[in-house]
Amino acid sequence: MRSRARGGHGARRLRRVALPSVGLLALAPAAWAAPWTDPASATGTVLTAVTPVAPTVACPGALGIGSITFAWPAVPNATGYTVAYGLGGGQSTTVTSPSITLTGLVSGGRLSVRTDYGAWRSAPSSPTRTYSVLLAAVSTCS
Amino acid sequence: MASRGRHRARRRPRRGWIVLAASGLAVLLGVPGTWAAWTDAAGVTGTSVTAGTIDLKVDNGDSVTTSTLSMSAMVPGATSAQVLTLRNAGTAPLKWTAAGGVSGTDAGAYASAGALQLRLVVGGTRSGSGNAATCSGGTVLLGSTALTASTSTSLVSTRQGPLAAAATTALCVELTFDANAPQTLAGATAGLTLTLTATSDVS
Repeated sequence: MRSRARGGHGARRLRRVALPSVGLLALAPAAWAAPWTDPASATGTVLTAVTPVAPTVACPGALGIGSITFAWPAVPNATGYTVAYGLGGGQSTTVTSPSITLTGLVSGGRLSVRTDYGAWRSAPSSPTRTYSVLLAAVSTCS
Repeated sequence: MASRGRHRARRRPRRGWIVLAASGLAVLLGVPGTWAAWTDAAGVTGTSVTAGTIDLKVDNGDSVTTSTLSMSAMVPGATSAQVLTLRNAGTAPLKWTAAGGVSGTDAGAYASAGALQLRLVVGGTRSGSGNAATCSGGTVLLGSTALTASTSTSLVSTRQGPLAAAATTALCVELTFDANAPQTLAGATAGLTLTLTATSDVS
């Protein structure tokens, strides 16, 4: 109890001293502590994100017996290509080089290619190619 | 009655003497003495005082234009890096802080997406090339931090150094175009400004 009472008086005394001191500090000029400064800057850096470009896929590609190969000019800055093929273009695969060979006994469908830029992707190549792969016959493309 | 008058006559002169003495004493006490102490001085000369200077240079300049960090046709995940040499061209030691951000038409779009990130490595070296260059080695001063659309945003607020007069330090700057940046940024352009500020406060 005693120590509490003393502590209470002490706190009150501290407040009485501290509050005016804070007031005096607020009035004190700050200029005395201002250090010298000297900036140096680096500019000139220009950052431009890529604009995705769809590849141009030519037809007929390479027609063979039981296979068909599509190749297209490499697209600058591409990290890969996503190829949609098969019936209605419902199947998909990715390639890193600008070509793909489709094989099968008897198959066909529609083909389009998108350019990949990391997580980004271009619109599909246009026009979409229609192809057929025939066993023991030359494949077709249009 | 006559005897009374005689008594009065005797008392008057005594009172006069007292008044005169008191006045004299007051005059003596009231007038300051004229005195002077002896003095002696010994001079110390020959001391010259010259203020120090702080002068921070980046690649030997106060305002360096560099295109090494530039990236055209950035794809998500692309990086660029450059080593800047900081030099104290002054006569007093200094410490330094860093601030920076992106500017230009699409700065806001980059900033709101947090798509451009900066990393600072003291003593780091550049490895790789083109849009795949990175900083390696050294001590990471600032981990990957998204740049804001204000070129005065504080990046390193804790004073670094001290850098003694004529001393240099290598600062590797690495930029990353975030791998998950939204495709709405396709074709967007922004510029980078990095400002290093020296201070004489080396505490």
